[in-house]
Amino acid sequence: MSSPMPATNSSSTLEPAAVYLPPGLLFAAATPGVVTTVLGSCVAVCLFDPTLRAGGINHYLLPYWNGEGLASPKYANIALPKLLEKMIGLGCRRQNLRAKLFGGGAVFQQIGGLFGVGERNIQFAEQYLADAGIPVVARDVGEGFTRKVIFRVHTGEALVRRLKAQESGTGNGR
Amino acid sequence: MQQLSDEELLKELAGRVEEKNRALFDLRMTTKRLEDVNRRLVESEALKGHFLSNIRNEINNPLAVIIAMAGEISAGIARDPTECRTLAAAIQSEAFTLDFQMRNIFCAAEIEAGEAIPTAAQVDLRALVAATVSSFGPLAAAQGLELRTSWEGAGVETHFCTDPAKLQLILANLLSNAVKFVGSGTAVRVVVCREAEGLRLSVEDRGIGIDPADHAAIFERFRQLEGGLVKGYAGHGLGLSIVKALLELLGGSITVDSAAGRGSRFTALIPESRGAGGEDVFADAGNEFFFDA
Repeated sequence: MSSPMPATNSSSTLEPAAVYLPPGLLFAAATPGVVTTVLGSCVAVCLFDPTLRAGGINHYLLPYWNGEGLASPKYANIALPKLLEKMIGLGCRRQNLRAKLFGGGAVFQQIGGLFGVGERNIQFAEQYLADAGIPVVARDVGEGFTRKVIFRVHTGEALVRRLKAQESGTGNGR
Repeated sequence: MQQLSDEELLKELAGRVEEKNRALFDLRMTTKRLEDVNRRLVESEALKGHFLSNIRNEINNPLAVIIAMAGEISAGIARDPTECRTLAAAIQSEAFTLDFQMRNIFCAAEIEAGEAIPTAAQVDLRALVAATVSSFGPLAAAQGLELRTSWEGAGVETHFCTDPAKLQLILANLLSNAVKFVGSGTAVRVVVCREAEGLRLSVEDRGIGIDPADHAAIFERFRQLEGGLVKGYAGHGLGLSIVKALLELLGGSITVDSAAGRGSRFTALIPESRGAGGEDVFADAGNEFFFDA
């Protein structure tokens, strides 16, 4: 079966076609590209190498894979190493990488406990990036927002739009 | 030093006790989850081991059959046209099984690598469903099975915006399971229904069925309910874990309705793809943040 081109949402011909990144996937490239995604309690980590002008982004739902289903980047403990691996595979050097962290909104009613799933998702990324020695140069995380992220892979720029708090949780981001 | 009244002091203490209780709750939950995950990971590792030992047979056996039969035809041992046709049919069937299993393995690898980015295209449902169902025709015929497809709901409109390759693999896996576990002499029914929420696709068989206690386990990777070294059924136990993961990528879901000995009905619900996705989410002015490189 033939595969059609990725869906586009850009009317401008100057801008590369935007790829929508659903939860559980990741994207990395050393060529011009725009990735959009929508985050509720999910977190997206953007990595960028300014020297190589290569960038990558993931979108995970939960901190740890619990053995259910496939071991996919739906889980932070798979999504972060996989993204880093891809960036290194593109020729990036770990010491050049910069990270941006988005999402982890408290969009669900929390049951017991001190930390919601969003918070735990953020904690995982902060810890992982600190251990890997990758500085987090920008973050817009937590609070009750659903966020839309537009990430320019080749420039490392990220545009984040916050949704009104009362609309959060009804958006299609998880 | 701030002076607190007894009342304030009590309130502060109650607050701290409450906080401690919540932290304890977190700790208990985390420990429980950790034990659970640990058990699952040990299990998963064992299943992966089985997979590696099984894959040899699953790939080598069909290939050996294909090589032997093609050899008979090309060496001129089989001359009779009827005999040649039988051999060709067997080659086709073995190649089909092999191709299907390889596509599943590659798809699982793609999902685990996070690279299965869904595409969106207007899909002719009738053509896609008919082609997929008929590809299982020879396999079903060999078992004396009938494959029936019925269309429900208001709709001559059969175009649906989704990822065709993923939809096809979802249906193929459900069909493959139905054909595998149905037992001979009955029928497998595919029901396609266009609904307001999207596409409902169900595959029903009157086969061995699944005990409700096992309904969660069947979606785990490398999992087939019968364990051990002697397997009665072919396959890797990847099918349903792939179906579930693909449906999640498409924003859909799957339900199973089955009991031991009473057949199974798997129903997949797939919302229509809106192309780029997330475009219905609008921002408020002043809520945009730009993070340059």
